[in-house]
Amino acid sequence: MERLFKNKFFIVCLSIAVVVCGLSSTFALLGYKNLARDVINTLTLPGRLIVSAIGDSSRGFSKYFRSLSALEENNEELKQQNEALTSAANDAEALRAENERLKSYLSIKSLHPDFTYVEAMVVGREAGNYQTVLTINRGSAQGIKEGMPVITPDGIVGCVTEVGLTYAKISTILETASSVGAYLARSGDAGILSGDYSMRAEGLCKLSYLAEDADVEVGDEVLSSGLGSVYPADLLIGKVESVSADDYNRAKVAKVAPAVDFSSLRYLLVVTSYSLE
Amino acid sequence: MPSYEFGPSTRSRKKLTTAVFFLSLILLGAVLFQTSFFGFYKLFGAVPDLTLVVILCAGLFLGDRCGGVLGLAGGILLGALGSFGISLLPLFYFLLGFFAGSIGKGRAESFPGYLLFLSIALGYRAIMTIIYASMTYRSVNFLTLLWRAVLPELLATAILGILLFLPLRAICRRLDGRNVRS
Repeated sequence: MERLFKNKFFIVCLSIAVVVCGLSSTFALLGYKNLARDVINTLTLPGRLIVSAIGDSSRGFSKYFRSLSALEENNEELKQQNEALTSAANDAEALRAENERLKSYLSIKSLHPDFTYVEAMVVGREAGNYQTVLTINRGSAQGIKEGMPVITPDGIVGCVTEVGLTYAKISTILETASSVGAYLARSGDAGILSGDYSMRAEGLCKLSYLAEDADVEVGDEVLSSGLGSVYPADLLIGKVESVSADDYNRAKVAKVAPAVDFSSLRYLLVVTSYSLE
Repeated sequence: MPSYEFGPSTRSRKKLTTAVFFLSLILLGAVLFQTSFFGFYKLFGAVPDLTLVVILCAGLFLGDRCGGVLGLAGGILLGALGSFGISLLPLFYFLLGFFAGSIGKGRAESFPGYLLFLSIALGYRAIMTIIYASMTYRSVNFLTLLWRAVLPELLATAILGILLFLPLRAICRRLDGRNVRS
């Protein structure tokens, strides 16, 4: 041990590490922006985009090979189904038209003409394994600010929790720190949707503070209520997976499956402004 | 007229520059892959700590100075690009790289020796994950944390560490100027 503390290299590097750790923790605690973090994120953005693109393309590549053997097996089955499918083609045409109509219902622009948003691409995901944080390739240079809601045509993703010049970090609704004012589309009963550590691995979150006599059923759609002034009202959050009473039998708690598939999320919209009415 | 050389010779300086350049590239690549690529390809549902494997190998095969410096830089980079800020990571990775070099240099050239040091490093990583999770969440169920975060992360990192043993040893040997085959 004595020899170790006579080692000049060890002492110098240890001092640097302690100073860097101390400064960054102090800045974080005081709420100051960490310039080094901003610079490193900006400088490595091209590299992250390249690595992200490699991940994206290799996923398609491996998927192709995985599906090759399955294709062979399916080929015979598909031949038999071909005749049936031909006769169903007319029905499919009708379904396609209906699908287009539903798509137009879901279109964010037509539903929320007051929204202005910035499209962004996910370039990084959590580096630790106990947080659900996404990094996007848009930052303060594109008008992104902390607290802005992030959505996709499927529903709410989360909100911006950190902004750099060319990047921003998004905390998803699965995070335990997040809370969204929500209500059930069918019955109108309101509650608070938040992340839960034990449900996070299953990709679920918790709708709590529902009244004891709340009318909630499996499959009910959960929408944002607009309370809390972060998320706009009436955006789809997800669907109820199961309902139970809370620990004291005073309120109902529902497990909610988010409408957004976080694992395959590539593009999202940061809502930069919206009308509160 | 006699010539005098001050400091390291031109050859060793060139060797050092080359080593630092290549190690920086490898480290940057490891951090980028860990923070971007492995977001898409999780092993056992966890992101493997590729940076830890690179720093451990640098320490074991190139010595405490190399391991220490690479650990310090890796910690800063990973902290800046990751989701939880720089905080304790530089100290964590510096100590890992330095002690891997000072204790393990020359003892991890064979696979069993390397496995032993990899296991110790993974234990160290597990402690760090538990500390970070405790700092992030006010109430964490230890068993849930162990089952859902720590074990998958260790398993994923161990597999990657085993797969990268030969290539990283070969690169480090080349950078160290050795062409020994074992």
